[in-house]
Amino acid sequence: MKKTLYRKSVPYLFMLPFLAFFLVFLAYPIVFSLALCFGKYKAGKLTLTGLNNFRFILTDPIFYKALGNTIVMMAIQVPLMTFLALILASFLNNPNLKGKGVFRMIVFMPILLDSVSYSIVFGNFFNNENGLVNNVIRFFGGEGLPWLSVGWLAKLVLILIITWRWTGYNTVILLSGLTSISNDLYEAASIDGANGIQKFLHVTIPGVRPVLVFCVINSVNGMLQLFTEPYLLTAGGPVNETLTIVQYLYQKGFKSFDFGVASAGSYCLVVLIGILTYIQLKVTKEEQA
Amino acid sequence: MKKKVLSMLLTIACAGMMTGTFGYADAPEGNFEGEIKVYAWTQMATALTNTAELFMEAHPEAKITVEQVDASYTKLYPELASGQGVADVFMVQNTDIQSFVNKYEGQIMDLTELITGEEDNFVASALRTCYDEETGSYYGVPIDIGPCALMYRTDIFEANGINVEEIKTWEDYNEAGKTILEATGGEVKMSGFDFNGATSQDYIKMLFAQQGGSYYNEDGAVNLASEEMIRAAETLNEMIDAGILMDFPNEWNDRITAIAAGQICTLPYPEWYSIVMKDSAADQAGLWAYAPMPSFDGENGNVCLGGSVLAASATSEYPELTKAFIQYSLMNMDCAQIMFEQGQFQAYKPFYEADCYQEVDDYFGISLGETFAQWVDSPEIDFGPWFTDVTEGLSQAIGEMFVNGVDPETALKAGTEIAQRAIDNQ
Repeated sequence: MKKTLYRKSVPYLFMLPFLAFFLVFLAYPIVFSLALCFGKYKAGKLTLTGLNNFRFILTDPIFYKALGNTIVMMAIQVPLMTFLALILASFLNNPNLKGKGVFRMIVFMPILLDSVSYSIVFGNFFNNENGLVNNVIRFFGGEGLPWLSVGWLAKLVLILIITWRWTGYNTVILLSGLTSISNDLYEAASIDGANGIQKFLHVTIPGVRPVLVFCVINSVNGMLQLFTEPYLLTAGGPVNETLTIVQYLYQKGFKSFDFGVASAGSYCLVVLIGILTYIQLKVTKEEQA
Repeated sequence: MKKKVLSMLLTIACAGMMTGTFGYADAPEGNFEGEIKVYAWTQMATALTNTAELFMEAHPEAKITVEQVDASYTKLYPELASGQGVADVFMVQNTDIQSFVNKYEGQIMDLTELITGEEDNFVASALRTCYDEETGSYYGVPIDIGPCALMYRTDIFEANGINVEEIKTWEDYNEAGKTILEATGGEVKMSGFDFNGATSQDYIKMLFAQQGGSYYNEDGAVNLASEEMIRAAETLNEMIDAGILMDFPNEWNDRITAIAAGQICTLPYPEWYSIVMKDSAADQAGLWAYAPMPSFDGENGNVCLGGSVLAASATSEYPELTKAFIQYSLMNMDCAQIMFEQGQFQAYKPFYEADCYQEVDDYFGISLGETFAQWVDSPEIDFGPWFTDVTEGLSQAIGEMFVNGVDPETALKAGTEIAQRAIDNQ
């Protein structure tokens, strides 16, 4: 009897360290922030205020501005990056390519850089007066652009640098999908007279679809939670043109100390991510069927 | 370590003897037992580590640990929010202290007894930031203050026949800027700031504070569209229209780059920026000088920007030691040099008599202490318990005014609404 009880409890004992960490550092904050959504948190005390925080968020024009910016940047950046990653992955998967290891390393390298450092470096590159980019443009006789002072240009800069950083990461993930496609399929397609583009469209893409879906969902989530780059590069400017949802939440939580509104906003973001992920899974499932 | 303490003691001793203030006359007396934790950032952490060592020499039963933390309070917030393990003494930006008192009600120690009788020894505008109107108490002791002055390139002024003494008003400043701009073919501008208001709102805050404006109306509601703020905005607009100001989307970094590249020839800014100059524009030593701030009335342009205070936790186990250490570090002649060496331009006026404040600075060729001490008396500004939200509204308005060309009154009224809305929800 004693022995069975002991045996039965062993698995739980092994899980205990993880469970303890999970409960303290993940479950507790999630539950506590849910409680914060419905109240005011002041001097360590929570006073319930019903749906006030949600009402504030959902009637705040700046929240919608941030939401719009985030969605616009996501809608351009994710397809652009996924497309580039797919092309790079196909290139790296070419059996005739020499020095694959070196190329893979080069492609993967941007992700190894810390996001703070690369944001600062790119900030200097795109400096209006003295940046490398404008200096190059001027060298060739052009006029420098006010990269970070005009809304759409600032968005473009953010899209470019995020693409620069994350394309390699997605390339490597897609590459793992590509290597699992059997060579027989390509051979069969060749025998049927398919050219390179046709093989790409009808063999490669269907073959990597599950991995592609993973990449897209991850990238969409990443873009919805965008913070470091706009925070360091533009601080949300010019006039909120690059303000993202998480920046807005940060502003509310850690600048205005309004933890209630910040928590309510995070839950809105969670719902949004949930809906988008569900749609993506649904759409890709239907396509597969 | 012992050697370091000894050498420091000797330095202080010498300084003390020269100024005739040697000894612990001002230092708190008594038997201070206990162990306290202190949070401060950058040079202030170094300064407080040094004052703590001296304090512990004099009071061996006391143990003071100084921790270097970030200026965004990431370490302090969770402690204050939970009310447990809060640092006994912590550094706070002077614009934030009233927010702390409001947000963490009952958690910030009332330090009125340290200030009582010493009111006149502090720069009034610095002391004002620590005062809570609701309770009539002081919740902090001012550390440093940022008296502003017009920093300018002597060589460029001379080459273009500009006499800095003739720049009395912002209009004069604008005219001088136009002359330089024309003479240099647009290469050299007067100065610059973030037209978006996203990374800094310092320029408009300076011009506003100079006129003694208030961010709130008589009923305590936010009012950004005040006469003073509109005037400040219009003045800046005139300068932008004249082309004498550069846009710095990332103000701090862009300004350093522009100074290093010789693209701007003045900077109306606080004393604390002198350290940045020595660090980032070391090769321009001897080229920069200071003049009084231009003003609106052509007479007194004194204004302060920035600065911090020391506050304490009401839950401290050793309140006597906590208060004694704050008093010892900030209001005691023995520590004047320690603070000044770390670039803290004290808000405690008796320090200005110390030798270190008279020393001639290698970079600027003048005594920074003596020069700026004459400009510290500036209008008192009430930042109120919601200043972050007020700043947020102001930042929105700045972008609307200087980037989107919205007229100041409309933009500032919209900014007021943004700020008031955020405050009303809290």
